[in-house]
Amino acid sequence: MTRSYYINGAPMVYVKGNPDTFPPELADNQNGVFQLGLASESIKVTPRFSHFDVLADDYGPEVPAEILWNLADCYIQMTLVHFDYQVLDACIAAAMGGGTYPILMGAGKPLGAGLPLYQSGNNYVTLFLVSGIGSRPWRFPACYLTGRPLEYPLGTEKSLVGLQWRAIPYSPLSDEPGTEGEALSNGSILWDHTLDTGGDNVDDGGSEFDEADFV
Amino acid sequence: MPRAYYINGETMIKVKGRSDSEIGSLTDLGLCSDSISVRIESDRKPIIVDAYGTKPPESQFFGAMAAVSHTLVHFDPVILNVCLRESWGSSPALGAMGHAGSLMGNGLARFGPGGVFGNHFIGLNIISALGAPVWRFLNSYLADNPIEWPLGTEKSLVRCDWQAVPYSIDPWNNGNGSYGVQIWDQTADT
Repeated sequence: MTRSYYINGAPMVYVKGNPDTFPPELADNQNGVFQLGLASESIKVTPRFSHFDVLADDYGPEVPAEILWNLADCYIQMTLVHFDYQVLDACIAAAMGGGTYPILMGAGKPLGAGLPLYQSGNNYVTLFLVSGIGSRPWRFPACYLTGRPLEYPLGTEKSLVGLQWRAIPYSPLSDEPGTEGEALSNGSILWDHTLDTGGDNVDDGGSEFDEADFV
Repeated sequence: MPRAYYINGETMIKVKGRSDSEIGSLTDLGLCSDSISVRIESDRKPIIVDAYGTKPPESQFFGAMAAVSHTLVHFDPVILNVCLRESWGSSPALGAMGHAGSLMGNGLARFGPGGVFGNHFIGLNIISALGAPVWRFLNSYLADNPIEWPLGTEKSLVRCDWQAVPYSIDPWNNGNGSYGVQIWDQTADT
């Protein structure tokens, strides 16, 4: 592969979630995917890796003898300018535990509850960033609006809505013999470059469709 | 095509706007006292690479618009007033303001009706009497300092400044974005 300038082109932001919050009959395509909208400037993807130092006496008190990989999360920041506010409401409701917008669910409610993506009870939202000029897409299977999740200016000028998403490498509880009910991190996906809308968060080639289904 | 002197000839400015407005059909605005100025403005961003110092080995095109300026000498003031009101988005009457923040296109096709919520962009047609190519700016409005209208014993030479923008109903444009969005062409409105 040769070097080049990397120009992603303007991405359209799509989302998919569980049918209670994102009714498939209202979706923008047959795979239950909704158009959220277009951004006013570039969308920033910032992974955050977690590593743990292993100290050994022989290496002294500061420099590790080994590093442990401790997974990662990813922050996605965007400012929407041309968007569907009802789809945004659904994303907010999902992040608040999956009730009906704008009602908050009870404190301590798990967003995934060990369930596969897109199943009733799992309130993670899959975020798709699809380029209009055919650059590789980005898929974050398990996301939620986080922190100060949005900034929504209200006035005579168009609203530029700032959103902050967090993606985690969520996996449903294992159903493999010997590990039933366990939360296993090995092989989980934080992000990839497919448009798979399958709910098992495993890139097994199933339920894939091409970018024409988004544009 | 062979080289020649380019002479546009005497030129009529015609306008067409929202189908439920007073300029719903192609209408004479007027003749000018001197030449009409068409200025195309485009934006670029350079790509700076350290190996090339401060000069860019590549640049990116980032859109364009057009500015059209002219001075009317023989014109229809009623039509000019309609253009002014349409250029203010949702202006209900001459000299009155509309809602601050009004959209011009309102997500409608060219000339889309809807009163205050119709498409307020104006098709600006510059038509030569000598058969030179037409200049049609599909989505225009009187901009910023839109007119300067001297009032006195001498004939009024009314200066007008227009802007033409790459309007589209849906900026995603089925994934094409701004690709193919027309700012001007050479086919007059009918």
